[in-house]
Amino acid sequence: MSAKPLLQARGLIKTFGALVATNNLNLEVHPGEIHALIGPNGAGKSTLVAQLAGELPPNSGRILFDGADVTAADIPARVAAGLVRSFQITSIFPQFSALTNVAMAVQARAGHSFRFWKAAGTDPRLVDPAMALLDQVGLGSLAGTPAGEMAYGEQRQLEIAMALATRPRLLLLDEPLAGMGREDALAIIELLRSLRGSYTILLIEHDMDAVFSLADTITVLVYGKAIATGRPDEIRANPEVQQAYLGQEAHPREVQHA
Amino acid sequence: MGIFLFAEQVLNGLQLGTMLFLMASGLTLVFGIMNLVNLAHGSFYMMGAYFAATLFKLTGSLVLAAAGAFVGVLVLGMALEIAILHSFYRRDHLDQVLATFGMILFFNELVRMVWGPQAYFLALPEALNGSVELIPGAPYPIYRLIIIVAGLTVALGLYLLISRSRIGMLIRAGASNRTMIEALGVNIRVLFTVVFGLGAALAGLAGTMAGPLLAVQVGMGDSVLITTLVVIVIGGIGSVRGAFLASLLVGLSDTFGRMLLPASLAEMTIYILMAVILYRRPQGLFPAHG
Amino acid sequence: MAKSISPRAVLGLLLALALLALPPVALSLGEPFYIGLASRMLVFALAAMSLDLILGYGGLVCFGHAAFLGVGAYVVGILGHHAAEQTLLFGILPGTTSGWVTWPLAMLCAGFMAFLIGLVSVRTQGLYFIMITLAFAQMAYFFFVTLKGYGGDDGLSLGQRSTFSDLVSLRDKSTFYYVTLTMAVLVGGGLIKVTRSRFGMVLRGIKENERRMLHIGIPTFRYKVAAFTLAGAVAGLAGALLANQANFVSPAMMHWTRSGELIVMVILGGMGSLLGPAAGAVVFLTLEEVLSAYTEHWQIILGPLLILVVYFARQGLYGMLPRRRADR
Repeated sequence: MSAKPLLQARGLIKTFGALVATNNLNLEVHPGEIHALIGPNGAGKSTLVAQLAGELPPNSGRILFDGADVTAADIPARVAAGLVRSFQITSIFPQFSALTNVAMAVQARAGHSFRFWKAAGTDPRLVDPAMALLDQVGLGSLAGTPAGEMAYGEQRQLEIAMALATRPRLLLLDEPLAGMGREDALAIIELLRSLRGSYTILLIEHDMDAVFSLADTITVLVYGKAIATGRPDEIRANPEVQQAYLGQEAHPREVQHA
Repeated sequence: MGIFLFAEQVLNGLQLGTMLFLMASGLTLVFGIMNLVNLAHGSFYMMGAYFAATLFKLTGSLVLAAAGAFVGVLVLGMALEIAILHSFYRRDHLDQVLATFGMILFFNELVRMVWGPQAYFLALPEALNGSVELIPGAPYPIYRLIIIVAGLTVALGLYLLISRSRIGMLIRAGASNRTMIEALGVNIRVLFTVVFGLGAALAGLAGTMAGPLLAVQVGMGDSVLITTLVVIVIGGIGSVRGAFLASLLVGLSDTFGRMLLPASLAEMTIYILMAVILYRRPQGLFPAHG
Repeated sequence: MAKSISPRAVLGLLLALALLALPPVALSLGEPFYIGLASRMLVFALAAMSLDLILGYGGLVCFGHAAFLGVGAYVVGILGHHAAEQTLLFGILPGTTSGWVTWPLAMLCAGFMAFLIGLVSVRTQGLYFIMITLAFAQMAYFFFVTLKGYGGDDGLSLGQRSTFSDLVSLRDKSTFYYVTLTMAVLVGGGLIKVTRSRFGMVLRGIKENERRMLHIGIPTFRYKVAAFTLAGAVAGLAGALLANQANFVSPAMMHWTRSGELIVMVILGGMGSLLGPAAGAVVFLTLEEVLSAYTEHWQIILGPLLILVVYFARQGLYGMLPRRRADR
């Protein structure tokens, strides 16, 4: 890749007692690409996402976003810069309607919220973009439904809509397909495909079919270390990767429920 | 400050600290294991004092009075747990705060009706009324020493109970993983009732011991409750070890605060201490829940 | 759009009429006592609404709200004291009984205190937050207990109620009632507006899922502090009114059981509805009035009653109202 990387992790180390969860990790995510991060359970994927998103401070190393050092920046500051994550375990506002969930995220992007007077629920500057996003992810007809009452797959779509509403430059998607049936998963995969080009995506996912069909670049994480980075076909052919990870399974599809 | 005065204040601080620990250990265990905020813990302290005062009047024996009060509050605590509080274990903290706040109102009024609004003063028997010279030339009241020794004994006993016995093993397991002890086939309901009763009885014991030092009166549990809450929050809610250290810390700070600071600040010492500690460590000194 | 009148609208209209008609009706019945009681209820309704803003909307269980009430009351009390004694506060400020000065100042002082307390306490979560707010309120309580110059434990009597103009004298019970009613309606209505604004939505979002709020890019800390400050300021106003209503201020107003009672009012009425807690305040004070007429040991009934309410009627009074369809 020629362009400057959008996200860079340099020499990232994170330990929990004797356990090294992130081991001198280097990672580059380039603008516009879908970059998948795979690895067996316990490889340190979630810990890495937490550090990139600002929930966990690394012991050492640096995180650069668009050239700026964000290692010490707090979560809202990273979101403001365009570095936004979604959650493996659904994280929404269950008592709000789907529309309000997204409008909340639109509001977060629309500057400070020290606005005490005008009703937010009828403000077209919040509601209209929120509605458009719901339509984009295919939830337009459920706008008035309390998020807590939606089906699991719909809640995952809602999460993505909320993440999009913050106008991210880089989306950290933490297992967007986790716990989904095939049909729901296909809908999300289509949704992610439609985002290609408009957003840079760092995708953490166990579903190998999805990863190999979506990703431009794949990084393989084992014991907190990036053992390989490359195009899908390179990764498939990499003997080290096969040994460490893919080789365990004759049919990669089954890995997702490991 | 003279060395004698200093030593005396240290002992006073220890005495307050050990009393606070009697209160705090039960409260923090109940929170750690059953996840219950029990504001009525101060009522157990008050009931202990009243039970002891009444029994002392009837029997003339301080030992009998203390033992009777201990058993009385133990039974009272277990009864309350069985009748009401166990159904609040899974409610949120706000519900627990309100329900146990209702209990405080009830007990304060009950005491006012049964014993009247005036304060009782428990006179100590001659044998306990004297002083001893720990350091030559510096007499210290025997009774306060007894409190320190009793408090430290209970702390040691509690430590042995929790770290060495089977019930302690269950308590420790329960504090970290409720389903695990259920899987062990332990009747968790009974365990909870026993732990709650024991915590209540320790609070009752603290009340009994405070009787001869302070006035036995309506609402006496309220102020000590708040101090105890400060202790367990500083120590880290759910941590017995934290409660012990925080008890001594609060006991000593309060005692020295009263001696060294102007009146308006002295009353606030422990609250300032708590605010500073929580500002630095929002989970207290020894967070029990990761 | 259906033109039929909703049950809620009817209820609201009847309530408004009853509130307006209360003083003349009470006077004609020869029971002016009830005007004072109703004023007191309105004051606590305002206080309960201010607590609901942070407790019901923001999920911040403040167990020290009475302290803000007390500080507001003491601003009126202390300035009135200096006005009566013709002495200077801090050696430079003359006292005053002018409500134009003391009421906004009460809000300012209570709000500023809430701001400082908020800075420290909203960093903590759950039980720690409950306890740290309780601790700060205790500090305020003991601070005023040790202020011997202003009566210490015994408190301070107000020489006269706040003055506004020659036309409006708060000494008249009915006038005071209408002024209190106006304040409660204006400020309460303002709070309702606030809870529907962007700021209010942020508060609700924090209560629902604070972690998510951070991850959509909202720095929650500053909004929690702001809400805490606003709630403190409104409580300060309620305190200024309370000082006038009682003609008296004392540390007992800030006792931790008062803070507990304010939470009870909010829960009784239904958290997160503002009007509910206002009704909760009215019900609580009515209960106190009725029970204490029946027995001096009324708290022995109130205590268990409270446990039952918490156990069975968690939604509060507001949860029992007929709902608007749009509330869904």
